[in-house]
Amino acid sequence: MTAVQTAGHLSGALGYALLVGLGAFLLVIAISVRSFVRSTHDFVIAGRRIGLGFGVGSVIAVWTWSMAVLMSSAQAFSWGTSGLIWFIVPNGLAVVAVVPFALKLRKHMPHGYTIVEFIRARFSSRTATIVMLSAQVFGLLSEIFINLFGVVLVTGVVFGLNPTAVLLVTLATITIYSYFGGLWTSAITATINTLLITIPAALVVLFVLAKVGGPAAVFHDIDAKGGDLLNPFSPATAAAFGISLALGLLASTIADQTFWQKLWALRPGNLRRTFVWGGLWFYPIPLALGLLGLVGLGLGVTPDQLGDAGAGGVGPYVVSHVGLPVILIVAYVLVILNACYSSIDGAFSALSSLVAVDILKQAWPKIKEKRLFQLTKLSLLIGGGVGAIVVSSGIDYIALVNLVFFIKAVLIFPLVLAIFWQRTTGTAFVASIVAGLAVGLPLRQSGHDLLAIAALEGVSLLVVVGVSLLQKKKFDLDALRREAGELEQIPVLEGAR
Amino acid sequence: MIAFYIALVLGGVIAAAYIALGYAEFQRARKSYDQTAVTSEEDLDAQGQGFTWIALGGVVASTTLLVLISHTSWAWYILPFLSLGSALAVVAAFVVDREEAETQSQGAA
Repeated sequence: MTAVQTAGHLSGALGYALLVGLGAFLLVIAISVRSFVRSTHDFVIAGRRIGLGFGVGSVIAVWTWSMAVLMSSAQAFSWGTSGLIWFIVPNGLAVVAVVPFALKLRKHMPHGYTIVEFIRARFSSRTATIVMLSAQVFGLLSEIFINLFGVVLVTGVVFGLNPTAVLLVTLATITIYSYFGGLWTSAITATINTLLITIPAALVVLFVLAKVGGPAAVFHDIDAKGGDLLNPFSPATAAAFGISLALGLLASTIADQTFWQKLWALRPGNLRRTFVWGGLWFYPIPLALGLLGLVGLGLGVTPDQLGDAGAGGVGPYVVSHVGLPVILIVAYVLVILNACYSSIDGAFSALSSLVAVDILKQAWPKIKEKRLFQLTKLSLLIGGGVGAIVVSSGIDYIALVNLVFFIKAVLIFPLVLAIFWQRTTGTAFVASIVAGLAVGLPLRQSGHDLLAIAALEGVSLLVVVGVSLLQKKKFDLDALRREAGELEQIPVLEGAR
Repeated sequence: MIAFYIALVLGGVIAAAYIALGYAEFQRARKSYDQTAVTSEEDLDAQGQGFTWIALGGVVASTTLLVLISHTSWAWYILPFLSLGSALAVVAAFVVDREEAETQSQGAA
């Protein structure tokens, strides 16, 4: 099998050209999409006219986070094929799991826009609404940070670029093109991102396999190392990260405005197909790129060689150290950049829907459409600015992101029951979140990760069910139909752009 | 290296279809700006049927693939080609959109 080659970084100018060039390409598309957007309703929900093609393309891209792509290689490198099982299987399932929620909500709340709007209509509780709004805003900002980290990682390993400069250039680039078209831009550019992820990923992985002597050589070297590296059901992996990650991933789709925005934006006849196809055809991307982690194992790449990037850097390291032609290294970098850009753009789009529907429209119910449209778009620039400040401040944002995802997991049971159980009350919703965090967070701080997530979920379930039963109230789901759709009443204003 | 060249050709064909069909769908969406999609509650209820089996099928299929690559090296080639399949799925989705648009326009005529 081919050994790892000593390789210097590729030109930094090429790295910046890729960062800006991809953004410029997507900006041209965003500008051409502007004619689709004639009102805030179009901007935040795409007129509820997104078809199956752009729906499936954008769901795949938005869920293909840059870190998810890198982490599939990392988990394979760290745990062997069991790492891939626990990382990939719940990932795809989390997207498919959106289907029952999408169907239920489109049936009872066909004119909805946001998850926060649902909570407001469902409970008529200011506290519950603020809790959900805060969780969504922090969750979306975390999505932005973690995807930025993926860009820093790949450009650092391949080009040796300065992290702060990369963060600022990337944020500025995505903010500019996101500004022009809202959800339509997000759906169309994300569909292009899917093309630029799937095909280059296949080509790069096949070339790498050929370059290192074929899968048989890698398989033989891993097998020779012994241990559980080729045992897909290794229990140690499940205990180490598998179970807690699976729960966190389910919360990430079910309690994420990025997905809720799409479930209300799709043509209703395509709901099930979009999320089923998107979930099932997401699987192959991390499956294919996970092979790079196994190649790293076979080559005997060491943690010292990966340096500060850690196991997450094994994919970029393998691609840039086995003697690939520059064009294929560039193609791999573009896979990561496309994954990052589509996820951040999706988060920006979701953020703008929260700002329009749950902040501006609530604070100023009679706000003029033109003003609402301008302020909604301005929120993207503010979101980009906040992101730039946070990521350039030196904060340990990976720890922050892990914390936010742990907190988001507490939303699973209260939210599921709010949708499917008419007896769930606002008090029970808030109490279950507070109690779950009160028990789970201290356990997490003391290092008991698996116990912490189990306690968090268990307590939140007990409290939401117990308090709801004690309150003996029943909600009429048809009331949701009357409480949403404010933006649809506003006439289209030409020239609002 | 044969697998790479096969994927290169397949990828080129899929990319061409992807771009052509995506552009056509983009133009169709632009022209039908004022049309509203309508679906009845019965349609939404019908979409929920059989969902559990599909979700379970995805879990079984992805797990089976990972078990395969844990036991035999030839199965590794399947995964990159499935990645091409993801792009092909979007192509198929665009074809479904086109057929539905044609059916609607015939119905309207």
